[in-house]
Amino acid sequence: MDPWLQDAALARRCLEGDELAWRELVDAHGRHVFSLCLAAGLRPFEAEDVCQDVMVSALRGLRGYHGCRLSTWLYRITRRRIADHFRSAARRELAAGFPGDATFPDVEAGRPLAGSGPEPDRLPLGDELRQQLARLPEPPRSILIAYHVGELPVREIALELRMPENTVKSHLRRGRTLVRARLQEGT
Amino acid sequence: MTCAGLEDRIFDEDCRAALLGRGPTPADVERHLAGCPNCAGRWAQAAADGRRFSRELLLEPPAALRRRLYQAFPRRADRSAALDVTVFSRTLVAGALGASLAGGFTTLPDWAGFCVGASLGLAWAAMQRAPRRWRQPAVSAARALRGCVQLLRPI
Repeated sequence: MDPWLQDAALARRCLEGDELAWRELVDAHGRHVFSLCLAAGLRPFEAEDVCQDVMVSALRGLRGYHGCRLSTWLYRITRRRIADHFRSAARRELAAGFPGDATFPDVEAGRPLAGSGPEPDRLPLGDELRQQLARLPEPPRSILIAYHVGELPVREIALELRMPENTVKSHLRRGRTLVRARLQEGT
Repeated sequence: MTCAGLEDRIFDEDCRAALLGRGPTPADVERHLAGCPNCAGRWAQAAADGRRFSRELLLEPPAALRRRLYQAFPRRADRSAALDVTVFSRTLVAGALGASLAGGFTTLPDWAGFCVGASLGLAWAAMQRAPRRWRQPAVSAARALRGCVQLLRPI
């Protein structure tokens, strides 16, 4: 069956109140949404919150889903929510007063304490890959994340980013080569 | 297929499935790979990259989060409770409206007006909640009626 039709059928079943269909949707797409949040640089507990927010919004707005793959639709919501999260986090951590004041935010929050244990020489492989992705320029970075983490088809990435499919493919090629080279440099 | 063609083809969905071990290698690609050792090497590299990206970047959400996501789906009991409240309130409002109309404009007693209004309200609330395919005849009829009214308006 055509994957586009499969997605439409799954959405329709959810709308008709089929709880199993919702579970199927969560199982199929939850990990992509969660991983997109992590790839965007959110900490795991933030990624959990944003992922939950995205899936609940998707469930509420399922009537508005049409014209693309479910993965693309969820990717769009996830990107918006991640941007919202960064905006609100920036607002929350807006400096009030001067460093040293009780009102000044703790910029070290979330980082491991200096004396809490030996720093590992090398990051775990997944973290290293995420870091290398974060260091890529745009648009290859967004394209690689959309293709490998969001598992969006090239055609839909091209539509999302408003560029020709061949340009998306060449960014993918260049991005992958760059990440591979940097990972090899690090080993 | 040419070598340049394969470079583009490698990002297509059927090739992605094959590279990630989720499907068979497309026949045109397989034919080309059999006769071109360079492209066979490129294909193997793409498979290694694809698997590595999937393995390391695609993480399962924690079990607690998954449970919360499952629970986000509104239960049937919640939906039927919501339905009861909606139906009840709509029936009451329509009944009161019917009673006041009956009292003001007709010789019918208030209770009869209430019954007629309440029945219409009940039917309306039920129709709103019914699956789309059940609603379709009523929606079509309403559309046709609206069309007739618009046609008759100039007269």
